[in-house]
Amino acid sequence: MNSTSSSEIDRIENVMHSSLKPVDPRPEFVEGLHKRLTDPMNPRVRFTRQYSSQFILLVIASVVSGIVFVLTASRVIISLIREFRLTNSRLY
Amino acid sequence: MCWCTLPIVVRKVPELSDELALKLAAQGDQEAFGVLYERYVARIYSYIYYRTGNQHDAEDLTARVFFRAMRHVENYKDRGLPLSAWLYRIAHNLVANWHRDNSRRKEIPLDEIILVRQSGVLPEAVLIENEEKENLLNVIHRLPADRQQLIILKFVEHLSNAEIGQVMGRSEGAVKSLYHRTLLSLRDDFESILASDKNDNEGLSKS
Repeated sequence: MNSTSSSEIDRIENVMHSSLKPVDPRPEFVEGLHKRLTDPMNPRVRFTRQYSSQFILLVIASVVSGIVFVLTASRVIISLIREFRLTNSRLY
Repeated sequence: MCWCTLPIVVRKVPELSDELALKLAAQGDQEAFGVLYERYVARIYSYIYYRTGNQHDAEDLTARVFFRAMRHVENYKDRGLPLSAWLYRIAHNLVANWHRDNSRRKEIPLDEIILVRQSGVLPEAVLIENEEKENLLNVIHRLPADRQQLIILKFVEHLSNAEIGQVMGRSEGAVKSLYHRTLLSLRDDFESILASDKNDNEGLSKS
C-alpha cells in the first residue's frame, strides 16, 4: 500500500470518527418501553421443570393411546370384512 | 424526590452488576431486568438506528430486542460473553430479518444524524463536509451486512476489535482483517464517487 492510499484510508477513518455519532432514543420511548417491560400486570409465563416433564408424559401417553386406537379400529374393520366375505360365500 | 419518580434519562442506574441483575431477572425479577434495560437501551437503539435508517423501525426493533431478551433471559448462559454481546446478536438477527422483509432499504435521514451546521464555520466548508459525510453514509449502506455491523460497532459504539469479535462470533484477527478489507473497499467506493462527480462537472462545463 503506498503512502497516498494510506493517507486516503486515514482520511476515511477520520471522517467516520467525526461523522458516526451515537443516536439517543427519545426519552418518551425509553420511558414507555421501560414501563411495558417492568409492568407487574404483564407477568411472564414460565414453565417449571415439573410442568415440562408432565407435558412430555402427556405427549407420550397421547401417542401410545393413538396407536392403540388405530390398531384396534383396523382389527375391527378387518374382522368385519372377513365376516362379510364368509356370509357372502355361504349365500352363494 | 423518590428514585423511582425521576425521569429515566437522568435517573442513575443502580450499582448492580450485570451478573447479579441477570440472575435476578432469570428468576423473574422484572425490576432487575429494568436495570439491565436502562444500561443498554441507548447502545442497542443507536446500533439499530444506523442499521435501519429510521426512528420508527429502530424503536420497534429495540422493543423487540428487549422483549426477546426478557423471554429468554433464563436460558442465557454465561459463557464468558458479556451481556452486551448477547443483546447485539439479538439485534443483529432482528435487523437481518427486517432487511429480508423490506426488499427496498430505507435511506438514513441524513439531516437528523450528521448534517448539523456548526456555528462559526464557513457555509462552503460545511457544504463540502456534509457532502463527504453523505457520500460516506451512502457507501456504508451499500456494504454487506457484516461490514456495516463492524463499522457501526467500531465507530458508533466504540467497541474494541476483541469486543466486536465477541458480538460477531469471530476471532480478533478475523475482525482486524475484515476491517482492513472494509477500509480498502470504502476507499475504492469513495474514489469511484469522486471520479463520477468529476465527470459530471466536466460534462456540465462543456455543455
